[in-house]
Amino acid sequence: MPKILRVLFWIAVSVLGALALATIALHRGEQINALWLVVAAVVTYAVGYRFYSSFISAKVLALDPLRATPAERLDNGRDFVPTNKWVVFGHHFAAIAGPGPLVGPVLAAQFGYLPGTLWIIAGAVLGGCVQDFVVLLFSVRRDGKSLTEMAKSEIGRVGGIVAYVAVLSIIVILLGATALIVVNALKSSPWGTFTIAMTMPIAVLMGVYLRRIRPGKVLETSVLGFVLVVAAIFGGQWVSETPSWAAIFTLTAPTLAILIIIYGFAASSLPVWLLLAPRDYLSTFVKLGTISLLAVGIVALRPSLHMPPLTRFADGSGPVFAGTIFPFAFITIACGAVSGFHSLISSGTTPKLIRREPETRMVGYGGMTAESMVAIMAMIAASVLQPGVYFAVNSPAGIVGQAPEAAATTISSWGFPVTAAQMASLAHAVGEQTLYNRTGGAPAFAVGMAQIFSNTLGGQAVMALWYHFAIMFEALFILTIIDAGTRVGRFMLQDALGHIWKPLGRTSWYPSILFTSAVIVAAWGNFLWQGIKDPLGGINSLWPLFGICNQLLATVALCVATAIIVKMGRVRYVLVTLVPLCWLVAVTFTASWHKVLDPNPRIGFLAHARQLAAAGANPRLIFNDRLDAAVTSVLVVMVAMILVESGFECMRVISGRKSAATKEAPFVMTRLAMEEQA
Amino acid sequence: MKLKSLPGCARLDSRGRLSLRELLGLIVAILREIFDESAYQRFLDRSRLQSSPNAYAVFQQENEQAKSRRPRCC
Repeated sequence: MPKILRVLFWIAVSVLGALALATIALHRGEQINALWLVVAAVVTYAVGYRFYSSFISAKVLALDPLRATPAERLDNGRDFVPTNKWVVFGHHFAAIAGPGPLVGPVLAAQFGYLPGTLWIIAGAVLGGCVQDFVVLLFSVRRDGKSLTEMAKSEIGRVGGIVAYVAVLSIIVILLGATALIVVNALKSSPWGTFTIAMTMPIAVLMGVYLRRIRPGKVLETSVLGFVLVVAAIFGGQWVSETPSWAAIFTLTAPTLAILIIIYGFAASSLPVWLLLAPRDYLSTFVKLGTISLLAVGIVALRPSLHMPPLTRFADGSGPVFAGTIFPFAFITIACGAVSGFHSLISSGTTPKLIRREPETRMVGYGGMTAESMVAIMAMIAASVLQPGVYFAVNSPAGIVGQAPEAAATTISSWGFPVTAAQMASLAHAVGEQTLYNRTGGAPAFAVGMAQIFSNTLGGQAVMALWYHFAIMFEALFILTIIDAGTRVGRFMLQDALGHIWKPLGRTSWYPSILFTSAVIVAAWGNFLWQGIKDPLGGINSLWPLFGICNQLLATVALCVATAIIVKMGRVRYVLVTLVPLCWLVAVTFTASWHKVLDPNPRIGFLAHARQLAAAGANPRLIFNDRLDAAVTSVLVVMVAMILVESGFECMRVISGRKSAATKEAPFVMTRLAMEEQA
Repeated sequence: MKLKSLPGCARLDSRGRLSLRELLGLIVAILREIFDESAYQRFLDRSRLQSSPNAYAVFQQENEQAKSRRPRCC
């Protein structure tokens, strides 16, 4: 394309993006179409990718197409394999796309669609994509080293220890928070509980089929598993309509919590092939399919957003979770804009597959734009609901009351009209006994997704099937994270304990496996139990705690990246990572301060503990609040230590007291460039 | 027309376009990589084994440590 046409094309694209952003930001008092959000996001990502990531590639990182990557130099056909960039992109996206970008935006929709949408778009382009891209490239240049190893070698011992503790903490809190989402989605829901229960024997069957009958045919096995899961969804409808069976699968929150804890322990201790690997394949299969389907549904239906751009809860009095837009919208959105967890993937499997350095741009920066698009779709799914319905589903009983009439009256008094009859009709349409107090984001997302799907395909008659498909999709996603996360946490603990007593570090020694699995399960099980006993619904405490941990891990990743950029002698471009780093420090430290010390008992852990103590509440609830405060404080102090240590390291380099040298692997000329030319 | 190859799955023409067949091939290649089918094929090639329950069990054993240590994202 001639240069003038390219310039005109990008000017037109930018104008369209500006128009879409202006439409979603400035429209007041009337509904807008969801496509405006899609256009604003897609265009901003396109401009960010074309220009900002290109600038970072050329000026900051100086990507070198002639430098051999570890995938080429260390090619062993196992971990290190030079792989086509589109294949790596798919692999990377499948690894980074979890339930976070679905749940976070749904919860943040209580502020209205505007704050969350703007942060998802801006945060991704300027923060999340940059983090994923630079960490991936730095790992590629260090033979695929992990974030923890890079923190240790480029910043110092404290960096390594903080990264280790942050990773373990985030895993434990993530497991507790996401398990709570599953519990809230399945409590008193025989249909959902039956379907999810069936995924366990289906996974075992897949494992046996894959190992004994059709070795290695994973795609074929996943299709078989998917068909069986769809059959389980239909079976769930029959179960819910058969009183004797419905009674068996109608479980309370504590019962479900105990079952999930037992499941986590069993999955961590069993061989990988039996349960973990088949579920992982099934979950990935369903995840990729459902996300694609949702994108098609939104574009085909072009629904209107019923949620206003800004709600009255911008003042911090929100029923879903307490706290003002700054910092809590940013903490809550988490993975859809910036996710510290991605830095583990960007410095894990992905760098070992990259063929050529320039491909890190598409995989790292581009992969995060796709993840951010998923968050936009979740925001749309939440915002197409009538606000009254959204708040009835997401508000805990402690805020709006148990009785349907009382809850409907309270929510209507906030200016979001809803009636008990309307909620009963909706619950009937989706095949549930009730939709009140279903906190956690998953049920609200499922209702929104079912509305979009049923209006696109099948009509209202199949809304219940779509709702339970959505619940199954989220629960399957989350249970996969629970079994895999418990195992990853167990390995990390075994690595650490192995330094104290060698046998504990042996990953095949069953007493060690059982002991460390029990410790990890007890840790996240404690948070889960705390969540189901919390009169404010659990999510009010746990999701912000998870968000803080996740964003603190992103702070560590950006801190490592900033130190490396300084050591590369590119101080003039340091703002690329320093600006998102400063923003995250402001957000996480402010949120942590509020969560620990805020005098409002709905926000501050210690204030809530004092309120419970004054009311003579169960000492266990008081202990939980103090534990949350302690965990938050310890993490913040540790991240402050890494900030100080890396700050000193950077100052030493800038002032010339230390030579600007990084720990990159030596340059080796690639053979791939010559092979391609030939 | 000079073709620029993308090893393993598809080829771009000189204008950087993929045909529909090549696009489908690329999607299948992505899925095979995500679902470890390619890794199993590489294992069979490397160890010069035929696909069988025993070979797959060895492959899984070899990959168990790496697979179970891989973090799942939030």
